Amino acid sequence: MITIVRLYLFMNLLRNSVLFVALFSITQARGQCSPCNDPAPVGIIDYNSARLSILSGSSVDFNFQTISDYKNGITKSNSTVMGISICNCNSEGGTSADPIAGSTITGYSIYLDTDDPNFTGLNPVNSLPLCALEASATVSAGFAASAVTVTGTKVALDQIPTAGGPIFQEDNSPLQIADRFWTTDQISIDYFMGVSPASGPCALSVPFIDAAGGYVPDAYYVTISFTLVPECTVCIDPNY
Amino acid sequence: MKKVHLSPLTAFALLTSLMFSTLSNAQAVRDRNVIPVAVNLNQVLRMSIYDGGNIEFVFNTIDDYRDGLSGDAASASANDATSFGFYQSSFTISSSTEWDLMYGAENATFIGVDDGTTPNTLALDNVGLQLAANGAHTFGTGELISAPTTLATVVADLDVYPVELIGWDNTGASNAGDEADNDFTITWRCGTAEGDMNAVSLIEQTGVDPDRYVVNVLFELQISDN
Repeated sequence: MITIVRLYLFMNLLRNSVLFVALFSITQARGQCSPCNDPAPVGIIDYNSARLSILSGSSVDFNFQTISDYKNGITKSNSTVMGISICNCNSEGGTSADPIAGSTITGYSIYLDTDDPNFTGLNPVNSLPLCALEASATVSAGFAASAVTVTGTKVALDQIPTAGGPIFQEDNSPLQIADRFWTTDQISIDYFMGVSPASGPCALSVPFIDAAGGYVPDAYYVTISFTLVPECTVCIDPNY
Repeated sequence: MKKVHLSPLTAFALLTSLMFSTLSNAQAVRDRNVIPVAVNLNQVLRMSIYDGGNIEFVFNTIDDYRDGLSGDAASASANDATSFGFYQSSFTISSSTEWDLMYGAENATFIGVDDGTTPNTLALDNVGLQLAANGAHTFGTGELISAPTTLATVVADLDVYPVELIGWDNTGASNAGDEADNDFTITWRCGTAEGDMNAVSLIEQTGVDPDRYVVNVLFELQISDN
C-alpha cells in the first residue's frame, strides 16, 4: 500500500515540471561545509563544521626504567600536535548567511577522555588509575584574534564526561568565533605520567614510588581520546 | 485496494516540510580522535653497600675479652670505639616497589681459619648489630619494620641466613624510594653482651680458642611479600 502511494505521488510530480525543478534546486543547495580557506561557490548554502586533525604523535609511550622515573614521573612535551578546523558557513566570503538561526559557532572545547575504566596490564589483574596520566594543551601556531580561555591547564584523564573540564577552549560567546583551519591553527599536547603534584584525585597515586601498595611492574595500555565539541547558542551536547 | 490521491501542492508541502526538518539538525557536530597510550613499568631493585664492606674485630687486651669491642661510642659497653666508622657498614636501597631486606650469616657459626685441621668455632651471637635509618624513610612510622632489632631499638645478635632484617609493614606509606629515602647504617659489636647478644663475655666463655674467625654475612634485597 505504501509503495503504491509513493509511485503515484512521484508521477504527479513529474507532470509538474516547475515543481520538480524547484525541488531539485533546494536539494542541491544543501551541501557539506567547505573548508574555511576554500570559499563555497556563490549561491551554495553550507553547514557549519568542526574538525580535529592529529598531525603528529598519534601514539604515546612511557618507559619507567630508573628510580628517577618512578620518583619524578615522566613528562613528554609537545608529544602530540593537533590541527583545529572551525568553520562558520556565513563567514565564507559572504556567500551566504547563517543557514540555521542560532547555529553560529561561538566557541569550542577540547576534552581529554577515554572509554576505558583504567590502564590495563598485559596481566589483566594489574591496573593503573586513569588519573595517573595528565595532559595540557598549548597553542603552537595560529589562533589570531585569540579567544582562548583554557590553555596550559593540567587535566587528568577520565572517562566521559571528564570531570576535569576541557583541556583547551576558545569562547567568544555570544559573538561568532574566528574561523580556524588545521594547517594554520594548531595546539600541542604535553603529557605527564606519574608526575606529582597531581591536579585531581591522584594525590595518593603519584608519584608511583610513593603510592601505597605500589604498582606491579607490567606493560599497561589505554586508549585516550581528544573530543572537539563546538559551542553555539543552540548546540547542546548532553555528554559535556 | 483503495488508491490514495494527493494533489501536487500537498505533495510539495510534505517534501518541503521533510527537508526543513532535516535542516534543523544541521549544526557542527563534535569530532573525536584517539591515541593509544602505553606505560611500561620496569622493576628497579638495587642495593649498594658503600661503606664497611669488611668488618674485623681484633682482640688484643684483657679488656677487649672482658668488655668486647663496639662501633657505638654511645654504647653501654665498656670498650666502645673511639671512631664510629671502624665497625660500621652503610648501605642504600633503591626500589620502585615495596621491598624486604633479608640477611644472615652464611654458616651456623664463625669458623676459625688459622688453627689446625679441625676448625675452631665461635657462636654467632657473640656479634651484634644495631640498625639506624638515615634517610627519609624511618622505622615505626609504617614505612619500615625490623623485627630482629625491634624497630631499630635493640641490639640484635647475628642470625643465620635468611632473616628479614628490614621490611615493609604494609600499614603505611610505601618504602619504595631512592638512596635518599633508604639509607641505613649497621653498627657492629663483638663480645659486648648487649641486647639479644650472648650475655656471657668472651673471657667467661669456655672453648673459645685464639684464632681468626670468619663468616660471610649475606644481604639479599627482594620484592616485599608483606
